[in-house]
Amino acid sequence: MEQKPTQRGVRPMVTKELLENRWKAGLGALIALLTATLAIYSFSWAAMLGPMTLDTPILSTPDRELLRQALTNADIWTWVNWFGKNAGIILAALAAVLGGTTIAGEVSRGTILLLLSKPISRDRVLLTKYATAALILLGVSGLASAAIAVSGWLLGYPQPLGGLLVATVLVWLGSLSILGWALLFSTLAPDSLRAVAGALVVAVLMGVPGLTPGGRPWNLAAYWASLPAYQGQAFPALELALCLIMAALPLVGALLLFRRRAF
Amino acid sequence: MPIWLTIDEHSGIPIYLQLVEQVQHALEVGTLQAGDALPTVRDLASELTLAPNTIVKAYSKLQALGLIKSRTGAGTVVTAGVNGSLRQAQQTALFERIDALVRDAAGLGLDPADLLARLQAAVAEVYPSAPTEGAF
Amino acid sequence: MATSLPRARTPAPITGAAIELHNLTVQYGAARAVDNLSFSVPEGSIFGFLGPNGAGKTTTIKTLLGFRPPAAGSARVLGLDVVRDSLAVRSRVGYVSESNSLYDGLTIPQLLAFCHTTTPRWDADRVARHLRTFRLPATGRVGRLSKGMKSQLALCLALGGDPDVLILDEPTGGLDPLARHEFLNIIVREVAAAGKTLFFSSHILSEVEAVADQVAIIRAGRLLVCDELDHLKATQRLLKLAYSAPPPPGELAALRALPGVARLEAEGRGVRLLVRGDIEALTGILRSRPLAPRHLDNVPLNLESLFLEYMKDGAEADAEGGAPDGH
Repeated sequence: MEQKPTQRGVRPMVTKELLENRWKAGLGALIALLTATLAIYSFSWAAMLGPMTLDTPILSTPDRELLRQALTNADIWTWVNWFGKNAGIILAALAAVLGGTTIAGEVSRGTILLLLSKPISRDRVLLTKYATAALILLGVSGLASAAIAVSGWLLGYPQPLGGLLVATVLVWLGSLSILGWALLFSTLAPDSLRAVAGALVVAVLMGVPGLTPGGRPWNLAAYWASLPAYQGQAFPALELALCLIMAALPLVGALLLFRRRAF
Repeated sequence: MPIWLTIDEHSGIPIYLQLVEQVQHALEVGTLQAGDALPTVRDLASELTLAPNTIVKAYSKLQALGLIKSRTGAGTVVTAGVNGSLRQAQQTALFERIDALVRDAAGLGLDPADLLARLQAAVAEVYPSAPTEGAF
Repeated sequence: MATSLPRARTPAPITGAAIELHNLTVQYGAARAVDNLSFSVPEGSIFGFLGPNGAGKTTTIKTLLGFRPPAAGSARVLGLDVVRDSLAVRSRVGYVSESNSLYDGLTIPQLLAFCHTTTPRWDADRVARHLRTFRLPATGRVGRLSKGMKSQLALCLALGGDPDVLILDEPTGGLDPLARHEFLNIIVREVAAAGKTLFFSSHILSEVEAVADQVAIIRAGRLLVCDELDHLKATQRLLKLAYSAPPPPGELAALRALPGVARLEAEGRGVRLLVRGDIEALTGILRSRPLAPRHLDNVPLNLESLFLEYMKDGAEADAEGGAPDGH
């Protein structure tokens, strides 16, 4: 029963990729779930604790006004404690691990030889790995957001569903840029550790604040979240577009490098 | 069938020649007789774990020697006239050994007369009714 | 996959050749792992690819499968260029790598499912049969299998796609003698006896000698010889000459210059010749010389001896700094 080799190859590859990454995905999901749930639940304590300044992780731009509002507004509090920074960190770390191990790991275990001996083009191999990792990241992001939605509903301050959806997608798109870089390093590096480390360095650099001419500190990761979008006040078209571009560029690089890589 | 075949894969003698020798020997001692069928190339290769090409060469040589014949649809069989061809091959080999013997004797510095005397004595012992004098 | 140099037009495919290499050169970093290698593997043959460790066998095989690009020259499998038509090549070739390449984290059924749907012409029943022949379990994690069992499993996977060419890289390491016999037997039965081609590299000469009908020997990336094994055994022999008195240097020089004499070693009254070529003719010449040897022994060489002689050639050539010649 002869079928075109490449068409047959993709779906079972996805199964294999998911199976291989199940522990990483599970751990990432667990951490995300706990952090997101805590983010919304902790609002109760904020309300109880009153105007005490909590050491909350905020975007690198310390915005005291925002912090003051957060103490009394569940939506802002939740956004600040999840989408503001933590979601990005957790998803970026997960993306670095998933992407960094996917090629380099197979090379050091030798399984890359089995994979590449199949009649599947290198582009398809890489894109399938990318797609599977992206799927996992979306799942983790979605799971965390679902936990927020459920918790919010249970606690009595339901979160804006539209805003949740947009924010879920936005932070996911942001993490895809780290995934792209991780995949690129995975293609070059001799082992997973170096690839993951490289991707984490990129993630950190993205979070490093630099000064724009206007004097306001600014970083790339700022585009992974948008409070106005969460609150339903604006559609983050610019952020989405920038995230897409930042995700696409390293992926293209990874594809080109993988094509030329000798094993 | 191939229980009477023993191949030494690690000898310097090509495997197909060993096969040919073994088949010849089987014919000499009667394990194989005219009309017996031999396994197909594929079966023999699988049983002995040898390359099919090797079996093909062996069968070709046996066919060239007139010992076997391949019949379309009926596999390979030992030919009816095997005794004649076999005997011919055996005789050739024997005479070659005699030549080598004589050469070795010359190399040893043996007197031709001594050599002939010894041969006569051997013939007399083995062929009781053969003439022993004046044959040379 | 692109190479950086513009390549000359590849020679037309040889009919009946399952694998052909034309002046193939492959770099491994700065070193030349494969150097101007040319030979062809006839369809339906069992081809043993021999060489010492590090000779470039694995690199050659990886190039055939499209894992590495050639730096120069070309190669074809079943008439298809290994660079341009790599996808088509891989859909008709079965491959077992030298080191473990199976997914330890998957279970055996999961691995089989993965291979089933990424391999055209997969025959699940045949694979199951082979698994039973090797007495491999049908369930459990791949990682729990021993090294030998993994090799056997890898073979089953490679055979599952009914390949036209089976390429094995040092396949029987880690197998005990019985398992190795079963392994070779399955290969002969399923591949060669079905008219398919088997190409395997090995440094275990005994297993090559048992099944291969063609061999190629490489050293330091270069071809030393490529020939039918039977032909090699028939045309390469040792002639041991015994003289009544040690032959003078003039005679030794003359002997060395005779046609077919590849190497001469002399010690006292004995002379040892490595002969490549027409042995009958040489024997006749030796016997008819004025200073003929008193006794002449014609000793056949097995594969191990042949191999070692070729390695000696290679070492001598390296010492002289020239390139060794191959057929």
